[in-house]
Amino acid sequence: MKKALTLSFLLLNCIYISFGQEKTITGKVIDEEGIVLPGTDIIIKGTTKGATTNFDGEFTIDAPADAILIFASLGYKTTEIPISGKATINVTLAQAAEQLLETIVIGSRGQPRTKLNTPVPVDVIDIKKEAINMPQQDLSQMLAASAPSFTAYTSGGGDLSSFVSPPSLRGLAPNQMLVLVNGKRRHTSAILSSSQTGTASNAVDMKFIPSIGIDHIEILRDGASAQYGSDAIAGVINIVTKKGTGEFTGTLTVGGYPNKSPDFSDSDLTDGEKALNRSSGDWDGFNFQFDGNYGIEFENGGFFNVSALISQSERTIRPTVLEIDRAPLYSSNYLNNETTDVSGRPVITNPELVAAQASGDAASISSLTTVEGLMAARDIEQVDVATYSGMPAKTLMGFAFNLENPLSETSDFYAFGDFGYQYSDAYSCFYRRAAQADRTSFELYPNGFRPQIYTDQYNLSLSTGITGELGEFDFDLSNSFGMNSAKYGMFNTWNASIGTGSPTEMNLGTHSFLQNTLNLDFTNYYEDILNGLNLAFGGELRVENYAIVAGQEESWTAGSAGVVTATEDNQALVGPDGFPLEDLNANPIVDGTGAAVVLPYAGVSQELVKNYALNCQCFRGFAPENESNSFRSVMAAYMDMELDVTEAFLVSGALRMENYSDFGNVVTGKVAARYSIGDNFAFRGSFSSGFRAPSLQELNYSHSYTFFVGLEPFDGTLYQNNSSAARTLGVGQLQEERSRNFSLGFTTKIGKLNFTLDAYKIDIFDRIFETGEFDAGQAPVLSPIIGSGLASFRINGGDISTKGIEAVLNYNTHIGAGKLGATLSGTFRKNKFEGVNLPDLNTNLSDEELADNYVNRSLIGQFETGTPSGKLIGTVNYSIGKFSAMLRGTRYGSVQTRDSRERTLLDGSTGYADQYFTPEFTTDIGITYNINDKISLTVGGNNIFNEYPEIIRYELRTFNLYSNYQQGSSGAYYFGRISFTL
Amino acid sequence: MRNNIKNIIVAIIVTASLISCEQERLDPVLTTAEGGGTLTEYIAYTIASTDPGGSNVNGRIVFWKDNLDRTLVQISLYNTIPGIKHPALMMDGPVGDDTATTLELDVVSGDSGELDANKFHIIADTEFYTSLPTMDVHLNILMSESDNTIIATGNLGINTEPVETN
Repeated sequence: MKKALTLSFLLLNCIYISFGQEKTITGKVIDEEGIVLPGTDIIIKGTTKGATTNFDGEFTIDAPADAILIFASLGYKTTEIPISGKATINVTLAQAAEQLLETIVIGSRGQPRTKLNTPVPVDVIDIKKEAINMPQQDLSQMLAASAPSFTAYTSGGGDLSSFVSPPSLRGLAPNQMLVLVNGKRRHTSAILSSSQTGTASNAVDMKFIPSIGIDHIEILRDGASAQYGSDAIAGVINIVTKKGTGEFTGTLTVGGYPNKSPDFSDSDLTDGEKALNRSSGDWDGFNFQFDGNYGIEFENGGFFNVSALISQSERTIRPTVLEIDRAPLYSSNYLNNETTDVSGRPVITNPELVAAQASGDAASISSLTTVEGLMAARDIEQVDVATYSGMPAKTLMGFAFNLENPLSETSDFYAFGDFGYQYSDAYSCFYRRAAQADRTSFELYPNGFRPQIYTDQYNLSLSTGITGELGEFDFDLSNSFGMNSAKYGMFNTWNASIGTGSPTEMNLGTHSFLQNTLNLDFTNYYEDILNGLNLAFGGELRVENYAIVAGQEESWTAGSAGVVTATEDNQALVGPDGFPLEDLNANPIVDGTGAAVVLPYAGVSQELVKNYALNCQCFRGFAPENESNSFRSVMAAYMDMELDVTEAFLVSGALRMENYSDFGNVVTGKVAARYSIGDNFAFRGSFSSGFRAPSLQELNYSHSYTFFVGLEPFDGTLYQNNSSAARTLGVGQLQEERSRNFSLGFTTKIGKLNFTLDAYKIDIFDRIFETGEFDAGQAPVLSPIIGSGLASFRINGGDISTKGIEAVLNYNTHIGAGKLGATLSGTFRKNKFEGVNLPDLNTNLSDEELADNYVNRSLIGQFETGTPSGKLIGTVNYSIGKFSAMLRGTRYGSVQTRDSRERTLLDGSTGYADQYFTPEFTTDIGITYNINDKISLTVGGNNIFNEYPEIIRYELRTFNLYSNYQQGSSGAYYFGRISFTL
Repeated sequence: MRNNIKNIIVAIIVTASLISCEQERLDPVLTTAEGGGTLTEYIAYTIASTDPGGSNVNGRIVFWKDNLDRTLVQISLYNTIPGIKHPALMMDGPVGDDTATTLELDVVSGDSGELDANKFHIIADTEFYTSLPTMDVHLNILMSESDNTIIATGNLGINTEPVETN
């Protein structure tokens, strides 16, 4: 109710403030030959509102008397005309073939070029224009919907992974891509989250940047380490923010998921699962988002622009409901009240049975000793106690600004930045069934529990700088500061080893990442050297800090609630009933003769009676041994040249030297060229080298965790490489990744059709992976350190390569009085793991066994085939009169997952539970109606035909029901949006 | 325009204040009948073997008071005879006075030495537990349902001190 009031208030307020004094202007638009131009866009400058000329080239528009009208028609030079109180404005547009093509700056420090004229492939996503019809609101999801090379995997679970949608390019890791905002390096998240490429990675968290404050985004699909920094292996994204708009724009979007199950008839769900997994049909994941942007221009040519977003999303629930015989909520001991505490006192877990016994109700007694009977008595359905997957609940706020102010005729001061906060709680844990005696508590959670992880994230970014002239050079001196922190917590949990006095909500610790980058860049354009030479050089000093602060003690400590200490000499471990104390499975604790164990020394002798699970369930808090406070500095110098040898031939080259405080010196380079044949065809190609030092997160993150094999829980530790466990096993320090990047393609323009095709190959050497788990049986040298636990490590596991083809086809035309824009883009990629770099480790495994555990086949599979090798996006935008519409189809290629180990399969055989997921196709739509020049309404949806990926096969269907690596597993999403301008 | 901006700022502030940062969390399923939990109050008595055939059946009977003041009776015997079900009878008077049965408990499983059907025999009378120490009764364990030979016995209530209580 509160939310409904809020939305109503906002809506009314938006409408109220949107109407103002306006003037009606009419006119006609013709070209230089006097031919009328139907479909010409007339935009009120500084707004997104306008009109379109009819078949006779005539228009009518309501606009403020002091506004400026912008006239734009495909193939004609855009013209601005002040209204100046006039009621009639007739316009003649001059022809300009490339006027409407975007100019871009990324990939070149030289003169801006159109995207058909760059020597390397660049996508330009016009966020300010396209956002109105897009269902997606998160920036990374908007890009993923627009550019096939770009992916942003959203996890439906997985501890820390639900809190970031790590963006990546060309199927490589998120931290192998660089993100810039207005050309300045953006910091990454503090969270080291799992990625679609199989290895945990720190990624830039784009959600904190309000999309309404963005003008456009450039995606450079090519290695650019030499130009922007050594970690730009897969490419670079440059987010260009809005400037002085002269108006306030706002949008309010509300949406939700119908949560309608797909047709299960062709799935391998058992008959029981088909019934259990059918959704209730109740909508979920309701969300709303308010975005606002206001920009003003200063009289001196400067501007100030500010943006805000407030959004709240409810969770979606896509549970994996297993049948009772596979995931029984209660054990036999639980049902029959045979559980005891550490002193041997009974724990009545089935009071319903006691009541039935007391009344002598034989039928109830019989029923209540079955899982189904007790669940029915407690009105519990299997779905209530199933493992949940789905989108987390989120509350997000973000504020951003962009400022530029001239200091003199030749120098400007600029500043931009943003601040954001997000609370989010997610599913990351298997349901802790009451049957799992080591980690459940009748007192706290009589029917088990579902631990949930949450974060409070804070993000800050601030860039300031001065541009000006120094001699013949333009300079840009800037400083960019970025900080991200994530405080983790868990609720609906406890630490079984410290007993029922354990808190049920815990602080798990805080991660933070800080980055400060100081840049000084010089550029000059020499018109008289051949057909023009742009020379750029500069330097960079970057300092980074990564810190882990431990959580509260109860979240990581190993308590002694299950231990009995003798209170007298020769104390026999018997309960009040005189029988030996029992372990968690109600087995008596006896010596070799079958007698109760005797503790000889009072106050000294101990026995572990109940092996209660340690730490916070299900995510151990970060402990003092995990704490870290690490720093790195990087100094860099670069030179970048771009030479137009002739009008048709462009060559460019860049060289960058960097010094890492922890990885020494590195030199990276890049050459690129473009050769035009005629006005409408050009070849282009590039070669570059790259270098990526492991991030501070990768170097310093360590954690103990709980994992499941089937439904059985185990604990393991991911150790740092400088740990005693790593040294003992023989795992060395992490080394840098090196890369080679080749790209070759062409661009062509045929009439209104633009087409680019680029092929690429990227080789990455010593790519960072995580090992499988080693136990003391496999590596006896680890026994003193890990005991019966497991150990894994981060390693330079092997060499990889990726090669592919990317094509983009654009077509823009007029159809009648309307305007049509169509884009078809696709990427077809093949990732390959070239081979394992296996060191000499102290294990008793064979070489083959060791190699498989060092880089497990499931990780290799995730990298090679775990994400769609092909992705095709077709988008049609059409606008006519007061309507505009977007229709987008996306085809996700097939995905194949590989199991990590052999297991017993459903048919009784032994093997790997690998799975092939067929291609998927989704359809997005957005339709906007402009009520007037101030207000427009949009309705639409994402995946409107409610297409779900295939069901995960039986053996692995324990957490997620659907694959997350194609269109996601939330199903259809529908939204409504009101946009307004002041 | 200034008024508009003011309206917008007010709208944002009001909206921000109306939107609680607290998300509604999923609650655990806590439904269960009353009376559950760890039993902490008990009175335990020794059951000694009468050793008619050298079986040496012995152990304890424990009376537990639950949260609803019911009494849950637990019997734990060593050396019971596998495959046999031993009747357990609470009799009037001290050991040896075997004339009247006060209460017939569930049979004891010879396999486990514990009550056969359920771990506890339930006495719904909420006054039973508090009156037990003053009751003039004892317990007999019989050989089998067809053989009334007493194989173990023990005084209860007023006839003896508990072996353990809290």
